[in-house]
Amino acid sequence: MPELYRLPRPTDRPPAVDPVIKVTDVTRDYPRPRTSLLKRAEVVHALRGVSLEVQPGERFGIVGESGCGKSTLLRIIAALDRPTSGRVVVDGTDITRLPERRLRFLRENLQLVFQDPMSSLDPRMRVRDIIAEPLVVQGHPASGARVRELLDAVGLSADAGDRYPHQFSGGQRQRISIARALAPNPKILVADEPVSALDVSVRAQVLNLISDLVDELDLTLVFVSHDLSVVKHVCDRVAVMHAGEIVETGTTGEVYAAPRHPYTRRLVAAIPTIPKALAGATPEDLLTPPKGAPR
Amino acid sequence: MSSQADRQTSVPVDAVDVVSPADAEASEAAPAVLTVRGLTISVRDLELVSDVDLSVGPGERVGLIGESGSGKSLTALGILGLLPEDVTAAGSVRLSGIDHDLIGAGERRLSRVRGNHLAMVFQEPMTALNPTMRIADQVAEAMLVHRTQSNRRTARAAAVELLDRVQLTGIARAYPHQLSGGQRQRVVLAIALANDPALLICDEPTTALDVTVQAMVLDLILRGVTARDSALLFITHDLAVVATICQRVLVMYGGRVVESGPVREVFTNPRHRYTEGLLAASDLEAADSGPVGTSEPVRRRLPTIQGTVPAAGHFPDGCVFRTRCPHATEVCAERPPWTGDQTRGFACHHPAGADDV
Amino acid sequence: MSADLGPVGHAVGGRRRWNPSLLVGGFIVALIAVVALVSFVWTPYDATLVDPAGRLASPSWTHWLGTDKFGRDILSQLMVGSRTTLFVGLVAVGVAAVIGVPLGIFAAMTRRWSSELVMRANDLLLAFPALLLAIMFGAVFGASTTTAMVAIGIATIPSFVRVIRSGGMQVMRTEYVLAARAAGRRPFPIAIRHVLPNVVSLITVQASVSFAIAVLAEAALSFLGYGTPPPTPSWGRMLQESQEFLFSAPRLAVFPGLAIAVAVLGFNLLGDGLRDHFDPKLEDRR
Repeated sequence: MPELYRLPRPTDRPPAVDPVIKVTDVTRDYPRPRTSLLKRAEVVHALRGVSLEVQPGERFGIVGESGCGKSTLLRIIAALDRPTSGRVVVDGTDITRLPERRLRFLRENLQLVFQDPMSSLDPRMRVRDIIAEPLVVQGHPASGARVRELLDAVGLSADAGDRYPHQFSGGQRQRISIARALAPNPKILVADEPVSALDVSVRAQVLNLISDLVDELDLTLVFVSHDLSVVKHVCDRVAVMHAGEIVETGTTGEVYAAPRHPYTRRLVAAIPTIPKALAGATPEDLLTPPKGAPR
Repeated sequence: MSSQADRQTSVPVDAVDVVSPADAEASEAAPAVLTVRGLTISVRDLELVSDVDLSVGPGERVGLIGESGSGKSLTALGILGLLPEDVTAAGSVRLSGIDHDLIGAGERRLSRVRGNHLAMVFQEPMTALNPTMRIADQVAEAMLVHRTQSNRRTARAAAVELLDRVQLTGIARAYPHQLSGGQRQRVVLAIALANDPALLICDEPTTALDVTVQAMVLDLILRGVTARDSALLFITHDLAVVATICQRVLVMYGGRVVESGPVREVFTNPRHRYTEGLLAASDLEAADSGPVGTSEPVRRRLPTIQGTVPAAGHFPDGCVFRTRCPHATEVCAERPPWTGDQTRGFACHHPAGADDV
Repeated sequence: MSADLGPVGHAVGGRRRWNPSLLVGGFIVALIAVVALVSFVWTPYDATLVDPAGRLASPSWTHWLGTDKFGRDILSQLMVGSRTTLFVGLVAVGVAAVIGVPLGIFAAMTRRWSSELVMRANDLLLAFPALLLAIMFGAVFGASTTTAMVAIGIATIPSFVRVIRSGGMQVMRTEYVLAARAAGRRPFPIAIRHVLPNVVSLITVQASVSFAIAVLAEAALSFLGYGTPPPTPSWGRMLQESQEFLFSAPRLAVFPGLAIAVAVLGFNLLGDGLRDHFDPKLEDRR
């Protein structure tokens, strides 16, 4: 039977502590590849002035549809991409203009889990080497014991370490990905659509696993997804992104129950759910935000 | 001689199997549009789909639910006769108005049926269109191929109107690469509906789309089939989408249909343990039981189905679900018989809700 | 959805079995290598021994494959010529791979002007015919097997750079590289640990194709007189010298021609076989 879990911290109160991630007015422009020698290359504004704060221990969701800039934002927070302007502070340190060699604290404290369980694991490496990689990089002793411990933590047997990624199913690969992320004992776990590619029955397992680990290890979770209902299940607070901007922020319950921005209303209305459907909702109803809200 | 003539005579094929759709709005006893009996699909000695029975009544909307490896997409390809080279199908697939079995029919006969009586929309809208042809021409082509429009001019006019109908107005001269994924899927839908098919098969048509775009495409699919009185076979892994668009549902696991019935009954009172587990695992709403806004919200874990979906060919004998089923006993090593009838039934030795029946 | 058709969660022994192309290709290449080694200590005759009395002899018990227009034993020449062939292949492919692979990976991993520079220089070299380059080298440094092969090697660099760059860019786009960067891996270790192993199959295929091209190019250059200078036997030069007897004694062309064809086939098969052999995904399918 489902166990009850307490949230680490109620987060709709004003934060008393310094935020662990603070993004201030970040923009990111990409030049499009030139299509003509004569015309100037077009510029894509992937992010247009994004600001957000994530409190320590919080489960923060970022929701938006494809092309809204959520993946760009996430890469900038992980210092895998640089903003065109604006500031990103992680754990009290401004990482915006920091050279790679001074990002060691970030590389230890912030780890990522990706969407595609096929491409997130090097097909030429054995699972134990994949999991040990962050340890090796950061000069920790990459003992077999630690790898077994991590495999155990994500619910895989110890002999999984000897095998190659392609020998595992999507859900199992995502567990390996999580084990690798947890290897250096990070404080912040950033998950980019970690369950979007998984089957429903496996999705529940992985969501539970992430939830348990965040609790047990006292992690801050940044969870990016296109699926607001998943974010609502996992996160305390959510930022809704649309066209490179954050259009709404709030506790997940509030945003889901009473969205304020027209886009959020459209998004919430469009999510098909079984209760809605059994109550007689048609696809047309999915297209209609409640109570005369602008479409 | 032409397929047009076939359709007009509309010989009731296999009229013994009468499916009465559960919802009152659907037609009463009428010969099924699609009747599949004992469909078995295998690669060499490996059975990927076993003994699938399904029928779709006129104007009925049926959902086929399954996770990866359940055989749902293979079933669709088997019905369409589009299986890959080394994959073979056995059994019977009859379409009303067609005087031959689709299984074993030659490519020439099948191509007269496909896109005409039987149309399909696949998951990937990127590859479904010819990148070198304007979209209106592609829609027009679908009608010219099956001679539902006599000449290019009328076909083009009809194509523009069809594109209008899927809310693609004024871009008839566009090429596929100029469209978004959702727009492309609507073009594919327009092509599928071009010849007023008796049956539209959609295989995960909205899985690659954003939620808001999905809502629009679902709406257009529903409008399209309703306006033409076409039957719909909708294949997906998404329970909520099936609940929104379908009247009846079949649940597949391990290449078998494990449960079928009207959407409301199956979703509120599942009998097969797999259906039960799947519904519980996907119901994020029920899991969030904590009252919103209180200072001590509570988060419940999602109920899960243990283990992973076995690889094709590695499902157990007997009940295909027994290796993951918490209720499995020795009797499950025997293949569970089908309990119920064509309309509502399940294949489980220890069905859910058995105590209170 | 069919991505999970592989054996999921079933431990596989991980035994690598021999596939046919690896077996046949390896056998042919090994045979050439053995013949080349044997030719150092023993050949039926001295390959350069001229015997005016026994010119253009047909195959017989004394000369298994006959003699050429100077009365030299063809079998002995083929044996000694295999040394040239192997040498040619190794030098040319070695030069091309040692320079081309790092350049390709570099171009894949950097997005700056330096990568742009590499690619433009590469295009320039690609536009330059390999044989012309070899003839130029021959004119400047003197015709020898080594100059010809270094030239062929240099001319082959661009194809390596292109293939490795496009493969490398694909690897750089994967999330495991992103994960490695997020864990703090520097570019050089990423190149060694992730990019290189994942383009190995491209390298082996490219190397085997280049090897074949190099062998053919050496034959062509020798034929033109810019390759291996006489009297060192070379399969290419044997072909060249046979042309005046194409109708009277076709076997003079057939034997070296056959040797070249078999060698090229051998290296191509070996390349294919190696690619499959090193692919962990194919491990349990074979």
